[in-house]
Amino acid sequence: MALRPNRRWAPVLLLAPALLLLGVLFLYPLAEIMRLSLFGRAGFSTAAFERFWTSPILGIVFVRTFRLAVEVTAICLLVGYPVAMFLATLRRNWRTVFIVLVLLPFWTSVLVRSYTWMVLLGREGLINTALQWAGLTDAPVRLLFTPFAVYLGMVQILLPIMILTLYGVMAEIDGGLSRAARILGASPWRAFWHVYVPLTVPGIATGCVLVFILALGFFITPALLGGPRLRMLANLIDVEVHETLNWTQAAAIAVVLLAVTLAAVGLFRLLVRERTLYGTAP
Amino acid sequence: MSVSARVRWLLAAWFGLVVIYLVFPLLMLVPISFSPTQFLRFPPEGFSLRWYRTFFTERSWVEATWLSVQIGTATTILSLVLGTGAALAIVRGEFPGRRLLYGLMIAPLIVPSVILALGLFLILARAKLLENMAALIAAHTAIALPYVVLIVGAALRNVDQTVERAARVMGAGPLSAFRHVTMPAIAPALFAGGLFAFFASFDELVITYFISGAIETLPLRIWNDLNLRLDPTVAAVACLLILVSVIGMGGAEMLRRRGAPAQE
Repeated sequence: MALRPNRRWAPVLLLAPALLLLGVLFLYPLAEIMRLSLFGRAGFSTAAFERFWTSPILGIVFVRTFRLAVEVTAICLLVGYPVAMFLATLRRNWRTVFIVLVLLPFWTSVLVRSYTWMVLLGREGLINTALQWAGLTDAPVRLLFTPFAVYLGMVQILLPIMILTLYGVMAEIDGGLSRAARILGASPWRAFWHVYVPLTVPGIATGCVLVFILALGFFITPALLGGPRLRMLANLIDVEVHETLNWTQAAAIAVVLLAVTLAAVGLFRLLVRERTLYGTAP
Repeated sequence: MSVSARVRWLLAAWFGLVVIYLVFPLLMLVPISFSPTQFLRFPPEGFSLRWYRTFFTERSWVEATWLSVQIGTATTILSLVLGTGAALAIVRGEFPGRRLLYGLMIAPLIVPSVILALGLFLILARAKLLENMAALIAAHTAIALPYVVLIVGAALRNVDQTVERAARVMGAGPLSAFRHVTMPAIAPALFAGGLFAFFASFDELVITYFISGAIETLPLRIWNDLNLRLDPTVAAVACLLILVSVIGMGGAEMLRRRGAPAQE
């Protein structure tokens, strides 16, 4: 292309500004977190990491965060798989209309979507009003600031990502394979389970890793729907920075969170070689 | 895949339920935003525009919105320039380490934003650059960049390079060939990438919350409001935001698909 005469230097010049920006505002901050997690005011110490075992709160929050991410991923997969299948069975001109229905919430910010659940689940919210109107309860039920609220909100926010990833793989599957299995005598269930599902494994893996790493770092939704009693690791970083002012501890929590995230991405790359998390590589 | 009529009906019913779950919370906000009462009640008693009026007249809301538009615009321009350059070099260049560089460009999408927020807070606090507009815009650019690199990179792979070469053979300089041949071909992707970058900044809360100090962007204004009281003004703001993001992101998605038909 246009880079022909000065082939060697053109890419360098084109890349330099973006690399400089990411170096200073992405790599350097991450390096600083790692340094601070081990070298606090008192010199080298692993105390901030040891608190994951010794502090009662930190261990509980770690397990809670990990469990939440795993369970939200599993729910998204179970709920989203049939939805993606339905989209893949539609005729081409109908697909766009139905996919837009899934994309609609996806385009709205996480903050706004978390807020809508605050309104729905509040003491005077729609759900409580409906429950009282139906005579199921006399007083408002506590829905907000419960694990139920956090799961409800997070699954709603992350589900479109799972559906769209699964759909992307399902749309390319050759329908003839399942039909062949049926003609050769397989029951519908066997054809589904032994032919169709294995073909969608790359989509399952990609969708699960994406949802898992996003869920792991969720900050806004647990804060707004779970409240102070249901903090996740991300919220604990906020507390350490803004309330207890223990930056070394905040850095250690961030390092652990980053390690789990990278482990999930690494596992994905080991298992699914032919795909990347975000589309094609160069 | 071929499924029997009965299974298909079951799938359709399930799809309907899930769509209600996904879309209903957003739709429910519309009547509430027109509610005349101070408390968020459903169904609302009556109709009024008072919360929309508050949003358009109260100084803190107007200023926060204007600030977010400015930061978003600056972020869009910066990430388009930087991202397109990087995408060109990675897609068209022939040098070792391209995959790695591409991975680095996309990495801000994978790292949880709260981690980046903490890291930026630490280095900016040391450099005494917290509450600094330029630093805020640069930080937003770092997280908007991946969208531009992804979308523009995908479009560049689809551009027929022989036309570019023809332009060069006919005597066009590298810049002129890019301006008159490559750029028109990737124009939809540039628009799409720009829109994605704008909304990455316009909707950004976590990093802003950590590094912006007293600079109050629109998401931060909403966040501060939510942690104090539930004011229906937020419902009106949220409705407007839903409208804006659906139009903006819907447009971006259409352009992205047109720019890169091979990509799903």
